[in-house]
Amino acid sequence: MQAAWKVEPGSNVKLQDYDPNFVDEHTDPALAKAELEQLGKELGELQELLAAAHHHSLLVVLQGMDTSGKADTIHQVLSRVNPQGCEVRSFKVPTSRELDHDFLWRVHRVTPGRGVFGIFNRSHYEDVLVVRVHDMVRQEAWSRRYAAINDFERLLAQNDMIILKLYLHMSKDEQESRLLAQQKNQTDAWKVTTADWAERKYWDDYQEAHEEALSRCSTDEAPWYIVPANLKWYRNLLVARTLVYTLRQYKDEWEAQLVERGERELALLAQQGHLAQTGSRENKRSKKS
Amino acid sequence: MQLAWKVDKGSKVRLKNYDPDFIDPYTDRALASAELEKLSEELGELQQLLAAAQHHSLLIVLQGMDTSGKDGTIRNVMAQVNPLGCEVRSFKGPSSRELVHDFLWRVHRVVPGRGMISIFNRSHYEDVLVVRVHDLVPEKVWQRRYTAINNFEDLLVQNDMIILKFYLQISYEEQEKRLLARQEDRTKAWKLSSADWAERKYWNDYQQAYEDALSRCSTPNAPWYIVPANRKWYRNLLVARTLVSTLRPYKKEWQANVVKRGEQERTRIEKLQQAGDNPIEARSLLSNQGTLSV
Repeated sequence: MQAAWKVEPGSNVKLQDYDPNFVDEHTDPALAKAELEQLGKELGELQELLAAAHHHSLLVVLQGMDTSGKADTIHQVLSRVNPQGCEVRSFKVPTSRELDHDFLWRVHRVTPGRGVFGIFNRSHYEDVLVVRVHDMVRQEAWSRRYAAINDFERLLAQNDMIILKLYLHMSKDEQESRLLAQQKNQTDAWKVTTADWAERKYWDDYQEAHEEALSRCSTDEAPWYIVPANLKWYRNLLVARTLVYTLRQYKDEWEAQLVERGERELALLAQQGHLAQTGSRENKRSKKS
Repeated sequence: MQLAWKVDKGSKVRLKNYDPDFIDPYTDRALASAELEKLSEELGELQQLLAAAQHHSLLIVLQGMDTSGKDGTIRNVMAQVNPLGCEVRSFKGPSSRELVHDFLWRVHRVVPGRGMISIFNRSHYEDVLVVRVHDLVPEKVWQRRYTAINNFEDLLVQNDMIILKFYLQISYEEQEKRLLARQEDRTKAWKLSSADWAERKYWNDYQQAYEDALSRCSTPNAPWYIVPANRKWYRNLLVARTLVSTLRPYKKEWQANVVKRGEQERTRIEKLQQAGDNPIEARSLLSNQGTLSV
């Protein structure tokens, strides 16, 4: 089944080659809803396994222009995931304390530990996007960040983090119609700021900055995916598919780890002579409930 | 002036080539205490400048075998540094919360921000020392950590961190003497643990692990220094000399930064005073005080 477009390591991304209106021929909106429902459920199950196996962690990085639907994607795709094992982090303008450190400092602190889903709504990539577009640091400083990011993500991956980076790809026209629609709608109007319109002027600079980030920082251990995002329902579906297809491959391993952990604990209990007692107490409790 | 021995990038360290009893011919014990006094005073002044200039940060990593004097060095060398701008971090066995993350996670959290000094009493190097000696992770895992450490320290340096790493070198015999002395002295006995004697059995493995760490992770911007540490007074003196002579070259730059910052603030205040009867303009001036805005 069609998933988001993976950026092959070392390739040179030109965003104009990716159609933000794309829909694969086997999918239509009527079927999509049921499929998303199904995928969301499976994602919830996979997350429970990941948490119990306590070996891998998952990091999902969401990037995209304003109104591309980062927050909405999180809402729609991850609503079936247990919030106890899932942390969403939004990266805004850095605080003065954060600015006293290297750009990865605030990011590293909040990476997910083993057994945890971490979702980054914006991320360390802002430091080669907005920072580059608005010349907030010298070119010398931002251009060495691509290598620093790759080193950093390799460290995380070596520590059994599964990393997926999703770029929500929307057209300039689509952005305009979304901004206008939000302004017209009383309940959405609060989302639009003058900054949104001001940032739009830098559209081409942002596209170029995204192209470079996608080209230079897509690696085997932390690939970038491009998600056609003009159609919200298809965007959600592709993100859900990409996540589920990636995690499914670990399912057997996690189940085996669970069994192994269980056996280890049982052996330990038996060794301490608690097993019979605990067993009977457990039985009583389960009868009551 | 004799400093601690700097490990050049790419060199292959053999610890037996470094004499832990070494004393340079120009130093004697009687003069050392006056010199240390002077150096630590200068260090205190340099720290104030570093804090005010708010551009660089300083990270001092202290490593060495048990009883090599990491605590004593901190106490004696940093005596005149304002504790407000100086944090000491001790790295013990990682907690379960720390163990769910990569080995640099707990370290990165506590690196010094601009204007600050941090002293690491043990550090991320334990993850290629004790962890390696006791096979706490597979070799494949600790082997790739040297590169990860170099990448990490590069990142810090690129963000204007000054990094110095000291290995306090004592001899096997000196360690035994110190452990025995602790056992005999009731006021020092609390420092003892049975683990000290147990760890001593791995002395050669540790030396080898140190040689690898010093050889593979000494870079021009985050160099390792070997400090002959059998004599405490000379150890303290060499660490102080090395610190001061590293920081001194920044002095002019920091002074200039301080003057520049002062001028910027003064202009801002003047503008604010002129805008005194215009609250909107005043507010926007105040909100612009942050460094960056998106």
